[in-house]
Amino acid sequence: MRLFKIAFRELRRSWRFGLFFIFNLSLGLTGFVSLEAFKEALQTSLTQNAKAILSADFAVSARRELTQDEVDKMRSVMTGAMEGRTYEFFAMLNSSKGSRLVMVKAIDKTYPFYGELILEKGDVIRNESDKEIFASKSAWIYPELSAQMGLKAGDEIVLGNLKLKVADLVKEDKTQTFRAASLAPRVFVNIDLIPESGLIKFGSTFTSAYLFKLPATANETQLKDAMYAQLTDPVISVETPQSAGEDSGRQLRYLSDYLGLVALVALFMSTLGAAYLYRLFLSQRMKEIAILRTLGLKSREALGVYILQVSILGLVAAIPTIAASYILLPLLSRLLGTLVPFELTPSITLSAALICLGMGVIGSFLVCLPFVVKIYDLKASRLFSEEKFSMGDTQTRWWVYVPMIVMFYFLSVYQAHSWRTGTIFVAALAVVLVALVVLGYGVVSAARMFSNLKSWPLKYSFKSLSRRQGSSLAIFIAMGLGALLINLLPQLKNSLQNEFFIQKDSKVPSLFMFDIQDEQVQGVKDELKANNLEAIGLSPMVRARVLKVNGKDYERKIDEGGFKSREDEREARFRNRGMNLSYRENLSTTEDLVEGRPFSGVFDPEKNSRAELSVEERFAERMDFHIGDVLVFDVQGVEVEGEIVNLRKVRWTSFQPNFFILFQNGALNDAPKTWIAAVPSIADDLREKLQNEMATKFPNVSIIDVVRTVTSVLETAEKMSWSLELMAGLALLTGYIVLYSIVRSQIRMRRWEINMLKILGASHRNMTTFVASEFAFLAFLSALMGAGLSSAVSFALSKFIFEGTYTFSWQGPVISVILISALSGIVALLASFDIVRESPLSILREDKD
Amino acid sequence: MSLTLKEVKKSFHQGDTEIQVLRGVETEIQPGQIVSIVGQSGSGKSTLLSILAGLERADSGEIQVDKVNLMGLSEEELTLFRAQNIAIVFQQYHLISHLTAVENVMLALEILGIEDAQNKAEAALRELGLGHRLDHFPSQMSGGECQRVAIARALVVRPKILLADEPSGNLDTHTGDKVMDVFFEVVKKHNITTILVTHSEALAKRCERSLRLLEGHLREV
Repeated sequence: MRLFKIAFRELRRSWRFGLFFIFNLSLGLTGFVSLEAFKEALQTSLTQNAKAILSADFAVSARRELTQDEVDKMRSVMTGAMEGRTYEFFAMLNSSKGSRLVMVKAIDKTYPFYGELILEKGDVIRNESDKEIFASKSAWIYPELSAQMGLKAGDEIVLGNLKLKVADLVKEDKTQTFRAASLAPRVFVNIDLIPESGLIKFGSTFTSAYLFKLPATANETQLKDAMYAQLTDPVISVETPQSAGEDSGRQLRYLSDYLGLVALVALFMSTLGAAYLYRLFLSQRMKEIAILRTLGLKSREALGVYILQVSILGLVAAIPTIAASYILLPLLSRLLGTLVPFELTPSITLSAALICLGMGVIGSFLVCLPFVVKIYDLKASRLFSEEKFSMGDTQTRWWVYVPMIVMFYFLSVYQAHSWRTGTIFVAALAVVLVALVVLGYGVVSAARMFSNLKSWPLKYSFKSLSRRQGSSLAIFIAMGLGALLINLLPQLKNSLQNEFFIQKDSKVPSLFMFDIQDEQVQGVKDELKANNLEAIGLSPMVRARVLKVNGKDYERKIDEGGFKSREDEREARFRNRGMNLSYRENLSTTEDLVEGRPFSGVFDPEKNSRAELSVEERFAERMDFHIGDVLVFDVQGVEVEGEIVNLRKVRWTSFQPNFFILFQNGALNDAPKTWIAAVPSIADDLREKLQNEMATKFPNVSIIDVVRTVTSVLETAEKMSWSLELMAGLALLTGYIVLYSIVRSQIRMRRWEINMLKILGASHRNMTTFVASEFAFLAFLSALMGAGLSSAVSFALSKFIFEGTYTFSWQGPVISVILISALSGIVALLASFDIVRESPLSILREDKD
Repeated sequence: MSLTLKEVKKSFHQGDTEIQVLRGVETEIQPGQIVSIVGQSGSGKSTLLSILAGLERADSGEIQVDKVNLMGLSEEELTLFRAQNIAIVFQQYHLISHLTAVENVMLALEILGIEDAQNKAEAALRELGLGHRLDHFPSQMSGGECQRVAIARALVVRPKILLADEPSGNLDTHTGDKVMDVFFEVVKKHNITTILVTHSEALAKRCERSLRLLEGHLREV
């Protein structure tokens, strides 16, 4: 209680410091806490809507037809449940108004067991509803088709061999998940019409699903285990509402992972400011601590007082954090809410508030630890000497920084849900920080060169800059990081957009065709030739599944709960799905050999015991495949063996036909297959014409309009990047608060110096120039370096992560540098306004204190 | 430069209470004269010094420096007048910590736009016996040295009036005496009108004339 009294009394007296410390910390925590609340809201909504998303209690699906044996086994597990059937596949919708790739959802009368479709005319389609599409040959279509093609109720559409009438438009689909992720708008049709459509042929890409409504007493988990025991093929997926909900929010969770990392940068910057403020505060208290020590306070007790103080501040910081989160949350929800079909109503939950409190207290403690421990080294005997008390002259303990670094690292991994991404992020941040520190030292040293200027306010502001290294570097790093973040996203976006649209010699194809049957290949080539075009990357595609790896059975990966990194999730997804194989003699122009040797030529079963395989390097990493591994595939009931002889790098952004696993030519040539191909970059009108012609002549061939898809993906990316920019903006705002806090404390510390200059004859104008030029110069250079570093980072990301081309745009960085410098000058003036304007008399009065 | 004070009054408000600090101060100080002002704590010495420095306005009265009445000057004119004619030495030195001794002195010259600041500053420091400390920062010097830098800074602009507020108050007796020896030597040499506020009777006696501030009035000692 005695220590609490001392701690509280001192805080009350130093309320300005406390206020700034709390403000700094809470701004950094705001992004973090808002995101936690948003993620929780997303998770809650996904859980609440999970049955609607799955539209059932239980689903068994595969990208092939289940065999009769599998169906029998499945039904033996699902006794007593209501059963429904669906198919999902891409197809070309043809009409007098053009053709488009659509996602056909073939349903039976029971669909949906849960959730609902709300139609434009007002009908609400539920399980028990009468459904018009079963009464006549008709379909419900997504409103996008109305917007893109002008289709409306009553129009005729063609799907394969089927001619259907548009019965109505789907206004709201509560069985849809991540709206932006769908490549093509949905069309609902009667499942009984599928055979007539001729759209599901051998090799077609489709998902066949059995949906079940369980009796109230059924146990989903037990049923899932029983089902997996019966259906051992990993390509058969068994889903419950919980797994469907988790799966459907995946993209948004990935986005929130990255948002979390940006929020961490803001938190890092705010703690930088808080640490700086605390260092100043404590160094001013050292003499008083020494006095308290002479009065009988033990070292440990003195330490306790300051740990208590930091904890109180961290605890109090939760209040403005939660208040500010209430402002940020609706903005986040507005930006990201459009990406999900259901309403998100995020609010600060108890767990988010607890995280806020925990982070505030533990974070404050760890950030201040390097300074608080100096109390141990304090020598009260200095009170007898003329020496000043300061923080810098005690011993340096490196271990005090370790808990802070470890905590930051684990927070990064937690936010990214990935050891790999978290580590890369921390490493990248460390590199950027080192770069900023080195550049900062450079700037501070360079400031010395200006110390011979004629104008004294400028001359002495540069001197001040170069000789107050601690504060100059803290400002430089905070502003540099803010400038880097605010520039990074627009530059990356710009590069991506340029890659797809601006280059005249763009190698990105216009159309991408799949499900081309063997006998249609020549026809497709002829059709393209008639338009003076040639298919690029025409490749065979063979469906298969992995049976064995190095003699061991390749088993389904079942989720066992616990912490799963994004890599674990991805591996499970890849592992549990069927594979598309192809074969080639040589690598394409979009591939590079990174390890191993090229194929030895055409496979000869007489000479070679097994075929050679080439595996995409990242896929190999995820699946833990290595050169020399022997893989056995089931290709339409026939076992085919291959050995990995090389790993390839694939430039996926080329949008050309590429595969994770390639066989040596000759090994799979006789296997049943379909073909995929791309059409080179062509003018918009020709693209439309070709799509229509192909859809008419080859109705089962699906065509992805790459341009339209990329546009839609970029639009989604744009929405996502707004939210990232919002976080980056928060980080920059934090930078300004750090700047304000440091300038404010610096100016207060230099109060008598400023007044002394006034006594020596400096005018207010001189003083304004003195203060503004010092901080604006620092902000200008930090913004310049931050923008420069952002160009370097976006170049590295574009080149090495996205493997695309990098386009530098100078406008964004230039504008940001000007704005950041000007704003910093203003912030510095605001922070120093009262002291610059006050009467110099104050120091005469304080002299007597 | 002569200094004449006529009926200078100043009061402060503390809550509802009015405290009359100066109740009609009158005196006349001749050019080049070194005058001490003594008085008890709270007698108004610092207030009087602030008014003489033009940092604070008197409520009424006249403060004549040669023929200029400080009471009639605007804030801006007062700042300029102070910079050109009046220098102050503080008890706490008030050196700028990140500037070296020579830079601290140069700054005073540069603010007034005086040419050849470096040489003049160095000469001023040498005159005060600090030729070996030119490039040292305040933290690297003793209290006595810091105060000598502060005196050099005050004198380098060749002020007509020097106001010194307990210049040896922060120093031990021996160091204080040594600093004040140099102080008196230099102000006499440059014939600067000097007003020295002090608690020390001994120091007051070293001045040509001594005044006591008592109950708001100045009296000869």
